[in-house]
Amino acid sequence: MKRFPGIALLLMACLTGCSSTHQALVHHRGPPQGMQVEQATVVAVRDIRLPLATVNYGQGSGRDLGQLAGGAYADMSGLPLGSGILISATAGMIGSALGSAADSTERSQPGQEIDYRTDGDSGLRRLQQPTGRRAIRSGERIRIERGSFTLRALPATP
Amino acid sequence: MRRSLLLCSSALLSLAVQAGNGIDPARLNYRHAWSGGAPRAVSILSGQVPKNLALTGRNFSLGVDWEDAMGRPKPEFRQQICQLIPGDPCPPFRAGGIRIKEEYLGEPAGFRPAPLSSEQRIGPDALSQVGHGGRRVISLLIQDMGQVRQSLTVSFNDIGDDELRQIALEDAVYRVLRFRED
Repeated sequence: MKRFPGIALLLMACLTGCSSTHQALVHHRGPPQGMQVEQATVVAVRDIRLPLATVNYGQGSGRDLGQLAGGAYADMSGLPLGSGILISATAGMIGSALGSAADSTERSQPGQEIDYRTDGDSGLRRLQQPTGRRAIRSGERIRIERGSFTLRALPATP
Repeated sequence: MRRSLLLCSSALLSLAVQAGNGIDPARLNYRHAWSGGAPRAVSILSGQVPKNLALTGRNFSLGVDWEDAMGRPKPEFRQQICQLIPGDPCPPFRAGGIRIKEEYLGEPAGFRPAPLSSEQRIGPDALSQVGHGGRRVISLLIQDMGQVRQSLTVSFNDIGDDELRQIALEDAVYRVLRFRED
């Protein structure tokens, strides 16, 4: 019976760790504004690595999980309160160190740096973006979509 | 006996949920006649605050504040929220109350989204839905009952800062606080 709270806490922490994609709510006033679309030709493409948009939760999560696991172990073993606190704090420190190490590892994704020339414009432009389902190739015709905050290149023919 | 208890509790729960909205829709007077034509805008909300289940309905006893990015109060917008419940004392903000904090007001290029989208923050994926031609944006941190949500309102017309604040109040703040449910 004593084991239940510790296991439940551990399970809750594990479930909390599972992330899901969050969708923001969008409301338009008036008709929605579309993207600006331009046709262009790719001049050159280079494969690059782009940083992943992540938050370093490792250290904090490691500490919390360590403390929970330590507390659960002490609870299940029927140890006195003082020993339980000590075990929980030590496990928290170990978890924090492991999480910190995980945070410091480089996280990146494959991307492309694309030099392109839009139709009717002699100037060369450049953009970087994550590699899509189909990589953009040199000499290819592409569609440039420009929003208020974003700029992306898509193959003109899927 | 059991059935009547069940009916009673359902009725109470339904009343509580309705009281959670608490604001007479007639008091939410959206401004439709703008100088220079109706501005087009889009508002992105990271999420809404949880429904208020208090049986007494909504009140502003824990206060309301609206401040700009420099921490200066904006009484004209604070007052518009306070007026939603006539006769409510509406004191300054304290823990658990409503606080609107302007995080950013300017051109779209200067806005920095959070690394990831969450219930509390707007990430880059939400911005990819915003069409071309945004002229001015306002980002608000909206706090209610200890919960914080972020909103971003983008105007596609040239309008003044206070007009943008007004659109953000009507399209974002009222929805985050669940005063407006459309």
